[in-house]
Amino acid sequence: MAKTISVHSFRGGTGKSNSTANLASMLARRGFRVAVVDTDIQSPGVHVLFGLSEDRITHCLNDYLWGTCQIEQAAYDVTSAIADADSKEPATGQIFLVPASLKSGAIGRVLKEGYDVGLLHDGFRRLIQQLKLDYLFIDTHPGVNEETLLSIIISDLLILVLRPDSQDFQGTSVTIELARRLEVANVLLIVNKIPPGMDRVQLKQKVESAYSAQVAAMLPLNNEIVNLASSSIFAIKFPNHPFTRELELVAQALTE
Amino acid sequence: MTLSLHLVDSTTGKIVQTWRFKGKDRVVIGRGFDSDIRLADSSVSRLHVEFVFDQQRGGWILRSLGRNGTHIEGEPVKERLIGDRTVFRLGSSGPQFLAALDQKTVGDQDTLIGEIDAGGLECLVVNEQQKAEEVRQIVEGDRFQLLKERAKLLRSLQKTPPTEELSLPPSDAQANNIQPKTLP
Repeated sequence: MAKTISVHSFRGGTGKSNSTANLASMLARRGFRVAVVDTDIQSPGVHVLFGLSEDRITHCLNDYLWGTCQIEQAAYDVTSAIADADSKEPATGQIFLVPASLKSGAIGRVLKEGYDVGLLHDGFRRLIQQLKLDYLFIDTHPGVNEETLLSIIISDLLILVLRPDSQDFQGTSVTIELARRLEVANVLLIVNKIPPGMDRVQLKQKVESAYSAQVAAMLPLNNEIVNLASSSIFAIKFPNHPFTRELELVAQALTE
Repeated sequence: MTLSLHLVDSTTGKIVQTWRFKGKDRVVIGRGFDSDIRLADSSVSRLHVEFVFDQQRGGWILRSLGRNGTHIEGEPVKERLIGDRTVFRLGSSGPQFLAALDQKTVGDQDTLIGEIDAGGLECLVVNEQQKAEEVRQIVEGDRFQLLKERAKLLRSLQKTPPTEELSLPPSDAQANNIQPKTLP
């Protein structure tokens, strides 16, 4: 049975989309069929990581929500983005991406009119069935809003990404409390962009104690990922980097 | 002349990240793929602000290009010759930067890990009173109760085939008479 995983953060800039894309890619590299849906309709971006150019996108999530296509018509096979340049062996799994529209008019329409979350939920289920998925990742819009909370509710697992700063720390506590009140059973935390010099052991203890939730990965502030400028999947390009190795722990946990 | 741009945490005034540009005469900040400093922030335009080195005037010109504007000391600025340690903000409440003009020679584009403020763990504290108040404001509303009801319904639907008709309470879109188009 397919697992649905929402990846969320209280604020933007935490590395949420990067974590989503890398985790999804790791699972596809392990032979699973995976899809990523960009529900961050107000500020889409995960398509860039998979090298999906705007001119290739004929249908997107917005079209599905407006009823002009089926959701699988907005799913693009981006498996080529996870191919290892140094290996002649093709990836055994497959990865799809459902992008959100990059057109300002379409983004504005969503902001103005909202969308039917029930339809989104139905679309997720259809996508799982049509693409025979093992994993569906939902890249959510940061912050607390109705659409995002509903995406979280219908997921088997919520992954919260936060940075070790005071605003993220406070905001994440509110998000976790709301998730608990909505009876979201499984929550994992990823602490990202940990600066050099910060005590990782103490930080992990502090986060787990504050939220009563498990920290699945402690990711270092990553100079290379900044220089990569979101142009590709970091874990594929740097498979032995400490960032990748730490994130592999989460991918492993998802398969168990 | 090297242009250094420091991203500043506006709540603490501390520098959280630094980019130095040497040997460049144009630096772009934006959400777009081609930006020299790329920010995934909804208040930042794809091409938000550019810095162009003006040989004649011997300085950097800040030129605001984004929809939300660029602000210096709270005022929107279209174009300005900047001085050392100019503080500017993308949009009226977006990310804040400090621009510094110095002579240091480092890489063409370098994020200086060493300059990132490691901060102290002591600042990572949950204000329980504030949290309780924020949670209370959200959960006491009718919308949250409706959300809980929809949650129950959606969870019960997880086990049914996706082709079945959904019978959900009205969403925002439905309440506003926005109906999805029928597929041919």
